[in-house]
Amino acid sequence: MDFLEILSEKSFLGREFLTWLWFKSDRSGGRIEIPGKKVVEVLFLDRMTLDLSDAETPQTVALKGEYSELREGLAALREGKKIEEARISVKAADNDFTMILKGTWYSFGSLRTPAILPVSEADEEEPIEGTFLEKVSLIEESMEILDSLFEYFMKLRVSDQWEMEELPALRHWVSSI
Amino acid sequence: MITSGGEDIAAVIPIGDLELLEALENYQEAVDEIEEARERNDLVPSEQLWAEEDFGRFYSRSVSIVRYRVRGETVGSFWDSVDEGVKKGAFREIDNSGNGVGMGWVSMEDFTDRDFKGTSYLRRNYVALSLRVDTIHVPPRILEMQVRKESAKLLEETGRQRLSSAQHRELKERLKETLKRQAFPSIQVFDLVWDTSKAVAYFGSHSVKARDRVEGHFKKCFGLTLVPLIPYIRAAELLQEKSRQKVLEKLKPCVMAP
Repeated sequence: MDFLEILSEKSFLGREFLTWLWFKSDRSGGRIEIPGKKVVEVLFLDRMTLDLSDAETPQTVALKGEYSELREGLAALREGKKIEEARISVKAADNDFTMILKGTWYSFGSLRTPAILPVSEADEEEPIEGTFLEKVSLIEESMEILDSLFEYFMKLRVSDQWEMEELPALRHWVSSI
Repeated sequence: MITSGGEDIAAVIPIGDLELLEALENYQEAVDEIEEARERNDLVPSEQLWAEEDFGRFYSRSVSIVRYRVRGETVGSFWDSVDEGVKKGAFREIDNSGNGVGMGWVSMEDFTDRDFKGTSYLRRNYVALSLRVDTIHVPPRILEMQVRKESAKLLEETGRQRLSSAQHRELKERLKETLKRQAFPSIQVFDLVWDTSKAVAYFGSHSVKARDRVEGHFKKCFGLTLVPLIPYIRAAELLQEKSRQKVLEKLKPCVMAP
């Protein structure tokens, strides 16, 4: 498959990941335990868009508002839509990150890292390099957190457990609220 | 809830483009934060450099990032090839007509610096660059106005009824070039951070045009390909076992609705 084929035929993976992530976060009060690894706090904030891109005639719904209004997204899920992008916060250790995670591209919009601390004395000779490295390390930390969640999802998605346990539980969640 | 027919203000923004809404709100927030920090006199050096007008770039609080895998092999010594690529692809004007149109790498700290003294783009294992893109756009209505004015003048001088289509085209091109010389270029700067140890690059924009430009320029300068780390490609990297990758290749969308 060339890149454009992959982009059109496999972009559902990003939307399924985001939808699954909401399910995991909502069901566990935001705490997602990655087996054998760590606990990641994931919160869905005030914005999301959902679409029916897998269908022949794409339909999109954008939601904006507080948590209760986002729950209207569940109605869209019941219609078969999946999340295309959402503003979320993630936290695995001390640092909190917020971003608009985009499903199709698995890219990061409006990524906010914690503020960069003032340059330490050790870095005074190279203040630019010190600040640069700190910012890069924060960006990389946020992506590692996302990758660990995405890896967790993908391992489930290609396993028998997906059809047998995870997908039925997700559908039950969609129908029960 | 906002749908395409809704009346909320968000509905006037293309549905799905949350980032635009977000950017508008963040902009004011960022300006306020910088202003407060400036009053407290506690901006760190990089923030002082970027605080003025480069909101949305790598160092700002809020940044957009597209991740790329860097694929391919350089010819000869890696670092020589990187240095050559940076210098070869440094910002320059594309045409020499004085129109101020151009593209290329500049320093991440100073978009007027295209010399990269020594290896100033190198930060440990990272190559830190910005892609500067200068363009001049003549607003179509301004051009139309000038064309009408000049046509009328020409017709009056020659006593003719109308200009031929070739004359009209020639007049339009000439006026466009004149207007371009009067206008200031729009300067866009997009940051690119290349982690050479992990063969990954972070680019600071989702814009299709900007991405096309950086992908093309990167290939031209370094002979390497930037492959966007979209879900399937990242998944294939994360699922290392062959049995899992085979399932991934055949995966179809699932129905999540009950």
